[in-house]
Amino acid sequence: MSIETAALKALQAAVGVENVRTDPATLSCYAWNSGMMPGPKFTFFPAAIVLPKSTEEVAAIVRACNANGLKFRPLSTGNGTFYLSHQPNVVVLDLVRMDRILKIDRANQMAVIQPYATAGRLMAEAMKVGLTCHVIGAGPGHSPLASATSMLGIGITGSSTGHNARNILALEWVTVDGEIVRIGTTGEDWFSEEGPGIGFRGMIRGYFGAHGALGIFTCIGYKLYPWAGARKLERTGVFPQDGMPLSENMRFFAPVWPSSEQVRDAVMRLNHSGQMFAVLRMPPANIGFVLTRSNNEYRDRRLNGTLPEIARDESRHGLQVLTIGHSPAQVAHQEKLVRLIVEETGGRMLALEREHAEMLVRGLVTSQYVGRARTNNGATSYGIADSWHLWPKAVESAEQLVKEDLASGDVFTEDAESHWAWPTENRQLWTEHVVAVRKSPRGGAIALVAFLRHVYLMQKQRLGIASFIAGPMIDMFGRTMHAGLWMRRIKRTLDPQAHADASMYISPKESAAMRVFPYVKGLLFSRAFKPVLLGMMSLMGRKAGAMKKADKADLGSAPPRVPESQTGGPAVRSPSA
Amino acid sequence: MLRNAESRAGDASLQNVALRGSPIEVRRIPRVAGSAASEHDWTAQPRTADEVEALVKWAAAQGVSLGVSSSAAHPARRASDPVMLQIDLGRMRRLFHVDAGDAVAIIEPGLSFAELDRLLAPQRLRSFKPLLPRAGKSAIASYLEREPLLMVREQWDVLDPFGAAEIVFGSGERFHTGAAGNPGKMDDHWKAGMRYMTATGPVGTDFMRVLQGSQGTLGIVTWAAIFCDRLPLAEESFFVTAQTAEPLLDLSAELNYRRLGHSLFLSSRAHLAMLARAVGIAVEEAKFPAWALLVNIAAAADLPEDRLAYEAADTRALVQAAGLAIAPAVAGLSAQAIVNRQASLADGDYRDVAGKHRSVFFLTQGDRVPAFVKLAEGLATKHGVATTDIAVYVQPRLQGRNCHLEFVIPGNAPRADALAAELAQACCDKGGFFSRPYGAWTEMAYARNPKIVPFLRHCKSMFDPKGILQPGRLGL
Ligand SMILES: Cc1cc2nc3c(=O)[nH]c(=O)nc-3n(C[C@H](O)[C@H](O)[C@H](O)COP(=O)(O)OP(=O)(O)OC[C@H]3O[C@@H](n4cnc5c(N)ncnc54)[C@H](O)[C@@H]3O)c2cc1C
Ligand SMILES: Cc1cc2nc3c(=O)[nH]c(=O)nc-3n(C[C@H](O)[C@H](O)[C@H](O)COP(=O)(O)OP(=O)(O)OC[C@H]3O[C@@H](n4cnc5c(N)ncnc54)[C@H](O)[C@@H]3O)c2cc1C
Repeated sequence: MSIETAALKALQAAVGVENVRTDPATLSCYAWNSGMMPGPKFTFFPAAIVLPKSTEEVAAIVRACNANGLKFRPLSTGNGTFYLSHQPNVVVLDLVRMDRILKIDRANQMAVIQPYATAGRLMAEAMKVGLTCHVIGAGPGHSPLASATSMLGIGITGSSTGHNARNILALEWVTVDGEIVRIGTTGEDWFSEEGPGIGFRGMIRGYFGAHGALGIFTCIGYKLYPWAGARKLERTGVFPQDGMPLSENMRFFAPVWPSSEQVRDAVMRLNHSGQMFAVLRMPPANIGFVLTRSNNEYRDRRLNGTLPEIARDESRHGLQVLTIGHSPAQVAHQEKLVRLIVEETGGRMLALEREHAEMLVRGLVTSQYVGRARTNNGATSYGIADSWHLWPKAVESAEQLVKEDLASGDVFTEDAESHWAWPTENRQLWTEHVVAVRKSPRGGAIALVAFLRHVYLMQKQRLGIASFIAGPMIDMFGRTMHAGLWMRRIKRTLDPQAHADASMYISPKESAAMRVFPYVKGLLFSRAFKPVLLGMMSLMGRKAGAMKKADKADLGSAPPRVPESQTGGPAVRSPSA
Repeated sequence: MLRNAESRAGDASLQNVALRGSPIEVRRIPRVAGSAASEHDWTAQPRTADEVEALVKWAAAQGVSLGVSSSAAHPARRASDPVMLQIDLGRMRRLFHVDAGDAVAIIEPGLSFAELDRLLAPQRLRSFKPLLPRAGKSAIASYLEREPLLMVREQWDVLDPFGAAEIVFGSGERFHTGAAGNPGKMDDHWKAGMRYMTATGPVGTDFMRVLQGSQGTLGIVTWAAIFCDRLPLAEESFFVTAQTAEPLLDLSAELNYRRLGHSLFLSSRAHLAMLARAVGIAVEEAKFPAWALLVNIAAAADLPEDRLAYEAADTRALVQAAGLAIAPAVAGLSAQAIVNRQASLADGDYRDVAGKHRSVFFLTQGDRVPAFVKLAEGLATKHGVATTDIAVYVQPRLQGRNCHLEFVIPGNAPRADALAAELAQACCDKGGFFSRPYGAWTEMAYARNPKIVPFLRHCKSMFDPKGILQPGRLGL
């Protein structure tokens, strides 16, 4: 029996024949890069896709992989294809069958959830009892469990629903050895992630999650937040311009100010009050994308000057503010408070048509913005988390970066800069600069160069903690923090055999290129060197183009198998990898 | 060299080592005031993080075991305690930066709550505190211990009120957590507008979360950014009372859900009596209600009077709907007096009766509290302690997700030790979560979740590979 067959049999024994897939059609679905990951459209095909139904099955799969020299990587919903591996021989565990909301507890404001309990579903269930959940900017389709345990976790309603890394209560964890371990409270209790004693959960979830590199989370206790709105979200408007009715106790405001300094002052005061359900700075063009039915309509109305005021350039120092009160007295206080702060900081309220307000409020509550606001070819640039003191500087720096990039004509924003920003926990600034990239063969390279340069420049200007540092970027930008050093120690300690795929965590060793990085980064990211950097990244782009062609030619046929003698395992790779 | 917890033999070795090349002065201090000359400890009092780093490196090289304390007048050590060089951070008492806008300060561990509040007051800030800490208690040490805070709605996460921090690990490595991990120095960061508001990280690890609750076994915090509380512009405090805990627990859950009330906690009659003593009021215990929920409404932002009015009105409406009684004072003890006492702390422990007490505390959830109270009453009876003598303190945490439940057995109760031990075990068996396991509780807490223990040991071996920090604590 070949090792391939043995491995397959072991996986089938763990979850049943029907829940293991190795056919090329299925594998290609899991090898496809949505574009959120750098590199070509298809790289390494997984060795197999396995669909467990229970924690015990997850543990059995992990043990089967370990026994057969296979690595493994989980995915919960796959939103953004961040689960893609950078190496062959990886079994992907798609946790789609572990989809239960095990408990919603109104009195203690929490839920117990499995990996494929999506945010949208959790929110709908929670709202029935007056609760809601944090929804990250990716929208209602993502997995709160994946977000909370394994990847970033910032979201638009952060003012009132926090940050997912801080929304975890107890965890159930399948270790890299296939052991089932609880972190925090045990048994039927999911209310605490602490200790006993040492806070071990800090080892497996930092600012950025471990992306499956330290094991698989199968169930968590998860914080829910008060929701004083309707028990069911009704729909207004006509698809795709969905809205929701504003209930009696909601107030929605669209204030604008002449400057970013005034926005800062206003947000800090709004934060102090602790009364905001959501506060969002969305670039005017992105608001325009939401309020128009298509890109063409947006373009036409922009050119003929008929965009709603909130979506025009001159409203760029503006916010969307949503309050929801539990009592008429609280509603009255909230309204008085927002109006006072806006007035005293020199702002004014924009008038909004009702249907526009309803659309924007639906976006705020559900975070269903991505599909609407990101109708351009968007790419992210950098994320910053710290004080609102940094806001004016962030705006100014982004303007400069955009100006520079505009010269090339490939990276652009419709506005002078394109920061999305909101407070987290009513106190902290989160902002992410979102740029657009021309659709072209060089598009990916341009986006990557812009991303790397922007992160470098923001870090240099001390604009808070740079947030999108994962995988290979850790040795670049996490270096001064010794982050990579500790992550390698942790990985070596918890997973000495490197069973779990660590493509988005840390490589086993720092590469020679990364060792020289500190000495060359100044040059690498200088304006003069930009074309060279672009050339380097374009090489990747060309490789991607070549792959796409090869993929097309190969559609329908099984990915060729690399002889075992070359791989030492059942490597199933894409034709061009 | 100094690892044997029960032996004083290490003492001589420590003396030898201490005399040889400690980077800072090491002194002998009596273990207990007025104790015999043999009953002494060794202490070093660094003034800077550089000195702490040097001490830890030296200790690691020499195999010297280190204890860490930050609080002034920390409890006396017992003769059976292991011989260690105590690093007393009491001289590290600087406040580096404070920003009223973000309500953030960067402080050293030697600052006690009382001193810290004095330094914060000009910015109209104060520290977040547990219930009546002793005046000399270090704020950083208290937060490291995860002591429950009164301000329920401000605690989003267990890490609160920590922001970024500096740690010297047992390995001697100095490390900046969270936002402080960015390239550059603290002063430059501050000038640029950073406020170290991100505690987690950098990147893939949450170092401060690992350290919290580790009782000084992994590393030494040399400074930390902390979120502060704003001084109220208007406030009102009252008690809601009842014959049983249940309706008050329900009310507390609803207040927390609605984010009403700045501080709140639940006390049994005996606990109220302790609080009364703490504020200097002599009341016959029987006069207190069986249970009282203290609610403090404090408004520090814009429109304070308006804020106070709506919070008070909404709270009263909920109290009325539940058919409960509400009053600013019970039996002459005013709720506001207790709140005010938080701002003028005393040296002793408010729980002490006849100079001491035993307390059993753990985490649970509000709706589970009555079952634990019943359990405690049953055991008290069994041990011949009047159930009314057991003080119960319930402190909701994390905006109401769980609570600290504490049973205080008065120091003069018969068989207090035996009752405390049995009660702890019984509560643990019934699902009480001993997240802060001290002494004998460690084994009990580990026994509930033995699979996590090897991973805790991994933490120890990574951050303190030579095992010099508080050896033996937490079973490590
Ligand atoms: C358009 C867009 C916008 C986005 N905006 C935001 C945003 O505002 N805020 C934000 O935080 N993120 C954002 N993201 C990224 C987002 O964080 C992830 O898509 C999401 O958090 C992960 O949830 P998921 O269900 O998609 O996870 P998956 O894609 O399934 O997994 C994400 C990562 O976690 C690992 N993982 C998944 N499940 C588990 C598990 N059970 N145990 C261990 N590891 C696991 C995977 O291997 C992968 O590396 C955005 C993504 C997109 C595409
Ligand atoms: C049976 C038993 C019961 C106990 N019960 C309790 C209890 O009920 N409540 C309680 O609080 N303690 C309890 N302890 C723990 C112990 O008594 C105290 O932690 C110890 O006496 C220190 O006193 P302190 O509070 O003054 O120290 P602090 O200086 O306030 O320190 C508190 C803790 O934090 C650590 N620490 C202090 N500063 C730092 C720093 N800068 N960096 C890293 N770590 C630091 C210390 O090592 C110590 O573990 C108990 C211990 C035992 C053995």
